[in-house]
Amino acid sequence: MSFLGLRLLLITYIVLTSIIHAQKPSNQNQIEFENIIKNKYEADLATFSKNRSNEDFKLIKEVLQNRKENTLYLLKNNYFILDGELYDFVNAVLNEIQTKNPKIKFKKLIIVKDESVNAYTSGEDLIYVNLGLLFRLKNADELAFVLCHELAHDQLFHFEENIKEYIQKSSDKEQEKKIKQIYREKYSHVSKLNELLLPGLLSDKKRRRQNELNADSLGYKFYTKTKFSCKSAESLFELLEKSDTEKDTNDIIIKDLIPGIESFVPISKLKLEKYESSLGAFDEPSDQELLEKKKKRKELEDLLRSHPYDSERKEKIKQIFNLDSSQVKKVEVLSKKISTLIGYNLLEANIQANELSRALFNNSILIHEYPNDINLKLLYSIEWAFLGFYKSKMKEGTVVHLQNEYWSKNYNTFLGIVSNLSPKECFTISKKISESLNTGIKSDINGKCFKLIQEYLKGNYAFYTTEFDGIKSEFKNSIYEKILNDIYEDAKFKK
Amino acid sequence: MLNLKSKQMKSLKISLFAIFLFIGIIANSQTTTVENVLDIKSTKSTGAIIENQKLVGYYAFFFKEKVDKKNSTYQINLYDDNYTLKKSFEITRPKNSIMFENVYNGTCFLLGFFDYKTGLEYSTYDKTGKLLGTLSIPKKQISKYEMMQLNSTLTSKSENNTIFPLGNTGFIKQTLVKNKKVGYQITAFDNQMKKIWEFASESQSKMIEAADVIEVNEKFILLNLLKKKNIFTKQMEMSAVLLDGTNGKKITNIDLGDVKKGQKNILNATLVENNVLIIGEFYKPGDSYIKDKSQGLFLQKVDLTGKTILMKNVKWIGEVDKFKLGNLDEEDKKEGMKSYNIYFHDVIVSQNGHIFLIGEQFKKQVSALGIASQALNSGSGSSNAAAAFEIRVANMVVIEFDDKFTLTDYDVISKKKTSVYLPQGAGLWSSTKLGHYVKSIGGFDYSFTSSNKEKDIYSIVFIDANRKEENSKKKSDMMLGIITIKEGKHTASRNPINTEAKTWWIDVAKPGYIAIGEYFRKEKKLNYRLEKLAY
Repeated sequence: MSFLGLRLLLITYIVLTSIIHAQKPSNQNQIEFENIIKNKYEADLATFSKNRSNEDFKLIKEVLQNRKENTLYLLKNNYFILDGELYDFVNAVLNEIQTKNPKIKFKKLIIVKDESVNAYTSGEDLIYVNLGLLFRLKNADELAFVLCHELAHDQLFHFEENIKEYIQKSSDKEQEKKIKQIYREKYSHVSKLNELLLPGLLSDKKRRRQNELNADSLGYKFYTKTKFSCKSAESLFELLEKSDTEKDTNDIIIKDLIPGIESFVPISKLKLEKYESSLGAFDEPSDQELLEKKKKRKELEDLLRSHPYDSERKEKIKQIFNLDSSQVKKVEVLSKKISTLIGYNLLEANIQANELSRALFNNSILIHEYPNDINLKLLYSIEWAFLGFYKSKMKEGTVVHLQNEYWSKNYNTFLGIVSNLSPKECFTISKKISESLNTGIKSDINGKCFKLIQEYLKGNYAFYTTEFDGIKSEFKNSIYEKILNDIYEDAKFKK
Repeated sequence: MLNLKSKQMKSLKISLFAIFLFIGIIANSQTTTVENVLDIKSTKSTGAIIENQKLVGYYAFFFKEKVDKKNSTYQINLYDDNYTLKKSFEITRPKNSIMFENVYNGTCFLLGFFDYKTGLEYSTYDKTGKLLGTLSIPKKQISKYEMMQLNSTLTSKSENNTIFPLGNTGFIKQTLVKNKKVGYQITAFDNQMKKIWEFASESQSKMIEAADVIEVNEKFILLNLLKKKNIFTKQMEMSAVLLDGTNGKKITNIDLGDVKKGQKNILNATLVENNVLIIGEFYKPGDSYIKDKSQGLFLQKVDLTGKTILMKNVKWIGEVDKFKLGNLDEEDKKEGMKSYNIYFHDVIVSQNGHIFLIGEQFKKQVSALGIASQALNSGSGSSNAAAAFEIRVANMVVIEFDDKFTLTDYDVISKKKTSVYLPQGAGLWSSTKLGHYVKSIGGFDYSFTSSNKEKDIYSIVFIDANRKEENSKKKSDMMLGIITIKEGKHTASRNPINTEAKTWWIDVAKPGYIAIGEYFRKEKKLNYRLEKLAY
């Protein structure tokens, strides 16, 4: 073979391997996680089924199969982040904990594209952390404590305990007999079933709350061996106390984010509208009997919680932390880069979950914090255009939340404004934002989506359809695939 | 007017079979999702909560359990207009009682129950579920006419036929009573169901008398009164009376003429700046409002002492038609000049005093299908219910008057024509009767009016059978026509609705919105989402 031939072969080899390597991590990760999930299913099934009756085996199989199928569904439908810069950051914290605590069985990390403030483990050698939790964290120390807590759950076999409890309750012959007896009676089936089943349910919740405290204690032991600071992790419990409510935000005033908006959106539409239920406030009952009922109901709601009451947990953990408050370690505040990375991923997760109003609201908060970030503005422009498109097709209700009392004041206000804007006004907002983004746009999937949308808004429908035909495959299985296809159909008719 | 809207609302409603699953509503979702819904069918267990002619929420009423031999417990859930569960309370009722009517007056709910053994019971509950008062009517005291009225409510899809809110301080109840023949009784109650006043027909009257409630608010009540000698006669006397809402005393009679002078038929009445605005049709002397075509529209403004401040008749021929010729463009003119009747669905008065009449064109025509069917069946000797005539339902019409009752606009909003087949013998019915027949069977395309009086925005929603989207061959799943009246000006638009669900429907929602219900059979999931009608 000639020298040129050799060189060509070498170049071909390098190009091919680089392509393979570029795709490999993602595919490899998918397969690796798939294998972990499947292998753990087989192993757990064998372990739990030992010396069990056929009836119990069926129950165990059902629980484990549900766990496996749900996780595989999320994995295959792109609800997990398994690599990338953000993954590496969180994984480094997990690795630090696992390295400093070598006795803990090694676990792999999964970041879940979910906005709820949560992290969990389900006995699969995997630790799940939601994007919503990452979005609320202030520093790596808080994250480290969350991971320690989840590792402790695993170390204490809480998942296994839950399965055993479930099987024991499901195969309780005595209880089954009592249930049948209730059905044989003529009256008050619902009340009597409640009476029978509630004590068991309450004791189960009590056990789960105790498990949370135990995981806090053991997690703390893992934590102290790491480089992370106890003092700064304390704030985590402030966060958990508010986890049922939304993240505190400053007043997001859209007109401050989009300069000159008053020139194309009537000021009345930008007025802050506070949320009030159409049925008005429901007054406290004056009747003593009704007040007692309400009090009992509240007590019951508290007893049904699977996690400790926030104040109780906070006090207990503070006591433990204070023991070691003399330890002064360096606090690692989340860098701007990591915070914005969490932000981008969360916005994409919002779009993927068809929660466009959340994406717009979260994006407004992020732009407020990082006003010069081009990528945030680019996504913001895309989101406003999408909203206009959904509105024009009378599909706003599929992507925009309705106001309600569970949302924060700021989000409800934001929703009030968003619902008042016409499709045209949303398109104009999108265009205005895009005007400041002429340079620095990457040619990644977001950049390409942005450019397509801008052409559509300019009325260049022919350009949109031709361009989209050419790059359609790049959007396959992406968060933009469906909406860009819908816009494509619209552009085809309009051109 | 309230009656008309409520009926329309009910006819659109498809609610849950397994209604108790409403408890599982996921409140934090942009759509209200109810999981594990096995099937859906029409039921009287859910409905809209209407306050001051505005939808403010929804209720769900469902069975919980039998508590003893005689009683059962029911749960009532109240949702606001964004489908957020606001309150849930239980009530215990005799086990065979059926809730046949309910109404909300902004302060409390009045629920009407019927028990075949014990009779009627009307109970008021405040928003926390506390019982405020009860009125019981033993079965033997229920007149046979009231029983007939009750049966019709129970078997039909309509609701709120007999009870109405009287401001937020009470309710009125309309009843048919036994006099010498048949009479009417309008009774007002406070929120504790204590009787405040009563207005009734003469107990010694030798006529059959009935009262139709046209409008009720805390200030006035307008009743349409009908008198006839016997049940078979077509001759009837019609009049209207304006009552003081606070004490039930008659303010004035509204002259509706008679066959000799010419009759009037009230379409709508509403309170505008402490005056009562009455709108209707008038007929030429000798004609009957039941069988003849009206001569035009009348508009009358009466103050609360009964004095007529302004009144005007506008004739179809010579006034409205001339205006149409000058106002409509060439395309609409062709449609506008065809000899259609108009069925009026609603009247809207905007804040600038302009009055908008919302109507839909219809006409009787020969039915090719009916004739063919009759010809085929005559050969075989079998009977056939199809008439040789059908009703052609055509365009929407908006007629606008200014505050001086001057005709200012006549607009025809085109939509695809549809046919309503008539039962045999209906070919001889008058156009008015045919209009009411088409309305009663849901043959018109008008769906509902969504009103936001404070913001002065009204959206009239109708369905256009032409599902083709503008400038394209694509057919949407449904084409909604929307007439928007905003700050005294009206516009019309066509809005395609597309959904991924196989079973779906539209429903009335909070002002300015339409609710789209989507049932996903495979996932056993029911979604409710709201879409804005106008910006």
